[in-house]
Amino acid sequence: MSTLEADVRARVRSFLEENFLYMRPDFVLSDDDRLLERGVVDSMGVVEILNFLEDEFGVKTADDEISEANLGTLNAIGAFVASKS
Amino acid sequence: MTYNHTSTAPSLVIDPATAVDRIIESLRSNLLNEFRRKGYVVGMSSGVDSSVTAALAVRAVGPSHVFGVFMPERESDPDSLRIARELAAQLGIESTTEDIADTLEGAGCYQRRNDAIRRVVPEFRDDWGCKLVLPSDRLSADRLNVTYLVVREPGGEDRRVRLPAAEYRQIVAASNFKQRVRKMMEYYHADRLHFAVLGTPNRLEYDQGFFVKGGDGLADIKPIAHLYKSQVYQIADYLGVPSSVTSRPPTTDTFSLPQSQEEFYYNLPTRILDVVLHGLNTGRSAADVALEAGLTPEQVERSFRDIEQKRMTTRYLHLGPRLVEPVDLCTMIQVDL
Repeated sequence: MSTLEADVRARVRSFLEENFLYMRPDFVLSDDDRLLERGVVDSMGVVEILNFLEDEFGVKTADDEISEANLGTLNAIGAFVASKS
Repeated sequence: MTYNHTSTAPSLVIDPATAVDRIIESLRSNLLNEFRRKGYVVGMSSGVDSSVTAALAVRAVGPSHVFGVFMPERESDPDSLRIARELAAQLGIESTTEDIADTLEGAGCYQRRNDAIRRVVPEFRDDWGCKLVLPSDRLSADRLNVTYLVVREPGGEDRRVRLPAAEYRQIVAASNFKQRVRKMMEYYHADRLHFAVLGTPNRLEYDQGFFVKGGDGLADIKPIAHLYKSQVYQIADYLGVPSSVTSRPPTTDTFSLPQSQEEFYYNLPTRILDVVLHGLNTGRSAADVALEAGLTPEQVERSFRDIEQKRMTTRYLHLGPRLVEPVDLCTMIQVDL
């Protein structure tokens, strides 16, 4: 697993904590937790993650890349961003 | 364009007479014992849900105790007003037309929406058409639901743009003025007549949170909220709701371009989603539901997940105002009595 992936996961985690988990300090989010299923984000939250990835990492996401496989967990997001870099 | 609603899935067939009797009893007893009002106001859009609701109310309390309100605005389909008026005449109820375009204009509904659109499509003009849509292949892959804006220049072709969160939310928030102004107008007439207000969601809309809080989600009673869409059609046929209503495809009638409910919100046509939701609610396996719905088990599993996801996302819409401590109203009620 690359340093970039770890960095992406950490920054996305921080983004999620600031924007979606700020009132849930006891919420434990693991790298493999499914973000939608656990109620961390909804579909609009996914769009906010896309905006964040573009602003932070310059990642442009194609329509057919907006999937659980690429954006469903912190691990998936780390791998997805790394694959685009 | 007509809509074929006649092929009901076996699991959703009901005895309409029994279902209607039960609703009539509830409409009567709530009006007399809970609301203590003289009748019902119903906003009539010409869609099957509001048409059936109006027809049920007439059966329950009689035509002189039902008042219909038609509320077109600048972007409404003109056929809707004509069809709704014809139905009101057929039902023998009093009704009125309230054109809400000026109210919406005053609230900035169109302006606020179009401002948000121009942030993503700068050349968008006020006379262009627009609508929001979801990806079309949501059951064929693990696609996540993100919303796209479709705009159309007069005489031009559709352009499709993925919406950032802020713009999506502003477009929806501005469009929600339509449902809220309509409900405000229904309550005006209810207060004037000492009537209660009917809500018109079917079970798909109610379960999946496809309504506006304080808009079409607000009502004193929702007589068809327990009925799947195809069951509403069965009752429509039983009550003699005309084909001008039942043959029209379900539409949101919210944006200036024609927009189906599955384009904007559901991941399946309502006829199929009915079967899937009913299957989930009754504990059937995905494989079993797939056979009836004409889908693959994998597609049904994805639809199950989408249903649960929407329930979670829209839970807030169902919540009434929270109180910090319980407030006992017994004394007030006794005084009132």
